[in-house]
Order: sequence, then structure tokens, then C-alpha cells
Amino acid sequence: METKDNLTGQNSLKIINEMIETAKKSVNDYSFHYLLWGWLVLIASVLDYCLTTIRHDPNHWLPWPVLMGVGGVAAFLYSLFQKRKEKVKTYFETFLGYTWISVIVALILTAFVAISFGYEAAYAVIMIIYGMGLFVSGMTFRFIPLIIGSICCWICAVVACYVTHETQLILLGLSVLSGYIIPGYILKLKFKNENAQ
Amino acid sequence: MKTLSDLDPLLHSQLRLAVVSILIGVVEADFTFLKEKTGSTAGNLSVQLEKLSAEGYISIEKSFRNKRPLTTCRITPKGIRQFDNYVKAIQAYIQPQK
Repeated sequence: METKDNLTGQNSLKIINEMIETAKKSVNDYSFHYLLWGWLVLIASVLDYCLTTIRHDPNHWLPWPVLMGVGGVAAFLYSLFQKRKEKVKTYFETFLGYTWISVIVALILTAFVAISFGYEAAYAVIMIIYGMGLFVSGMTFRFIPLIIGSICCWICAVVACYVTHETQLILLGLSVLSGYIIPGYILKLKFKNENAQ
Repeated sequence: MKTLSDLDPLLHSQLRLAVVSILIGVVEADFTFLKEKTGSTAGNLSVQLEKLSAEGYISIEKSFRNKRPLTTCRITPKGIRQFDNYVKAIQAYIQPQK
């Protein structure tokens, strides 16, 4: 693109529209975070379920702090690495960054509430908060799999209010499968296809 | 009626207008990104960025990332105002022709 000053009005508007569209489409690949947390929560749910139902282990909750700690460190290191490669920062991404920080804070606070008042109700609350983050992300990017995933999380949250702890763990696994893992892989594929074009 | 000569000469240039149009939609963008998206040469882009920065339309931050120089650009409140005026002026120019 050269600097020509003999622009017509129509050409100016065309440039403005094209460049604004270009900037809008410049979204980084966030599938790593969905897949990381999706798989970690799924593994933690399965381990908790197995330890509770098969081994009747009183420390069945142990996979949670261990795997979530691993996830926190991995997500932090990955974000640092990605930041080094980041060429552009969009308003969407900044907004979503703050949304997910509030989701993480809400989840940590829910864990504290669960320690004090029992974890029976905590699973439903966790799924509601997960769903909220997914819904905001899905609507912001107009990405249907995330919106469907968020609705699945909320349905699982409602069902979780009426079932046993063991079934709640299965619901939690289902909610991250539909809300994080499946949309995460679709997002990864979408990003790969868009960049290949 | 508005004429094209009434338009802000700093923005009424293909490359500078493209740069400001990108920056209006993002928080910040680095030099490589702007070069890729506008399809300009590094030298030309560098000159045009300096012009925009000298008039206070954009701010340029120079730093290092992985031991390589990094130029990050952001639009300023003045740049937003001028861009807004430019778009209104272009619309006013085009409208009577319809």
C-alpha cells in the first residue's frame, strides 16, 4: 500500500471498512486454555469419582487442588509465552481477559465457601460460573459451540441440585466436555483453517 | 457542500488512513502487524507512523522483546477525534452525490 493522496471518498470508506474488519478478525488462538482446563477438570472429576465410589477414600478431593494447581502454573506460563508473540491486542480480548479473571476469582471464592459450608452445593455454583464465562465468550465472538456449551453447563448445574455427590461429579465432567473440550477443539480447528487461508 | 480538499490532509492518504483505521479498532498493535495488514514496506510505514505521531494522532512506544526492537502503536484521543471528523466529512461529501 503506497501513500497516494488522490483518494476518492468511496476509496477512503473502503479502506476504513477493510482495515476495521481486518482488526476485528485478528483474534489470537485461545483454544489452549479451553482444552487445558477442560481436560484437567474432566480428569479431576473422574479421579474423584473413582476414589469415592471404588476406593471409598476419604481423600477423594485431593486431585482437585493438585490438578488445578498444575493448570494454574501451565496457564500462567503459556500466557507469558503467548504474550511474547502477541502482535495486536484487541478490545474483545481485553474485555474477555477481565471476564475470565472474574470467573477465576469467583471459582476460588466458591472453593472457600465449599470448604466452610460443604461442597454439595458448590458443584452447581461452579458449573453456573463456568457457564457464565463461556456464555460471555461465545456471545462476544459469536461462536455457537461456546454458547451451546454454556447452556449445557447451566442445565448440568440445575440437575446437580437434585442428585448425589457421585452423580454431580459425572455432571461436572459432562459440563466441561460440552463447554470446554468440544468447543476447544472446534476453536482450534477454526483458528487453524482461518490462518491457512 | 464539503469538498475533498476540506478533509484532514494527514488522514487523507491511503497508508495513514489504513493505519489509523486499524488502530481505531484495537487497543494496540505492533509494527509487524501494521506492516502485514496494510501490505506496505517497512520504510514507508515507518515514515507515515512518524508523521502521525508527530501530529499527536498516535503514540509510539519503542521497547525490546526477545532482544529485538519492538514498536507498539496506539491511537490517541486526538487521533480518535480527528478520525471521527474525517469519517463525518467523507460521509457529508458522499451523501449529496447520491
